[in-house]
Amino acid sequence: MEADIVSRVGKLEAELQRLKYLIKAKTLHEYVIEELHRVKAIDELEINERLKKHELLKNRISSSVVVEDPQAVLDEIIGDRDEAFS
Amino acid sequence: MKLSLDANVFIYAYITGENIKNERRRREWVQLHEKADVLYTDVLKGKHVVIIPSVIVAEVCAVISRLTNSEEEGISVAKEVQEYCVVVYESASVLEELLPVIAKVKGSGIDSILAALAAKENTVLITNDRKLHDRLRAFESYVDVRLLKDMSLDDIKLMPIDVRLV
Repeated sequence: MEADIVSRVGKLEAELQRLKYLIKAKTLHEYVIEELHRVKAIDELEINERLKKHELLKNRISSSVVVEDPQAVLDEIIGDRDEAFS
Repeated sequence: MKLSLDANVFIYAYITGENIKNERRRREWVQLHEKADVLYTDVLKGKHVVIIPSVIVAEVCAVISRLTNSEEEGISVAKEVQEYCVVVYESASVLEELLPVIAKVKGSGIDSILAALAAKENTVLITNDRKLHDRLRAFESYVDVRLLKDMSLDDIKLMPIDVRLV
C-alpha cells in the first residue's frame, strides 16, 4: 500500500516536472523564428565567405571518399529506414 | 522558400561523385550532385532556409564518416550544416508538438520526425527516398514533398525565394 502511494507520488512528480518544462520551453515555432534570424546571411561579403568555405569543404570531402560505391553505403545506412515498417 | 532536406540530399550536395569508377553509377550520382549542389548553394546564398530535425544532422555525420573513413570529416560537415540550417533538437516540448503528426505519418522514427517538422513548419520536403516520397504523397498533400531524382535543374533554380527572407 505504502509502496503504491510512493510510486504514484513519484509518477505525479515526474509528470509535474514535464509540464513545468513544457510551460517554460519555447514553442517549436518560436524557436524556428529565432533561428531564422541567426542563419540569415547578412551581406554579400558573408555570402561569399560561406560559399568559399563550403566549396573547400566539399572538395576535401569528395576527394577523401574511400568507397567505390557511395550509393551502396548511402542505401545501407539511411536508405532502408523504412524496412522494419513495410 | 522554407525547405526540409533529407539526409541523402545533403550527402549528394557534399560529394561530387567524380571519382566513382562505375560509369553508370557515376553518371547517376553526378546528376543528383548537380541538383543538390544548386539547391544547397541557394541555401548558402540565403535564397532558401532549411529547417531539419537534429537526427538528419546525425545521419549526415554518420554517412560522411563512413564514406571518408574519417570521423573528423563527418563532424566537419555536420558542423557546417548546423551553422547554416535551422536544426530542431527533439526536446520534450518539441516532441509533444510533433507527436500528432508523427502518429499520422506512421513511418520509421526519422522519416516521421522529418515529415512532422515539415508539416508543422510548412516547408517543402525534398528527399531522394522514393518510399518516403510515396508514403507522404498518400497524405493528400499534408506535406509538400518532392523527389530530387524527379526534379529538373530548372525546377530547382526557379524555386521561389521566400520574400520574408529577403
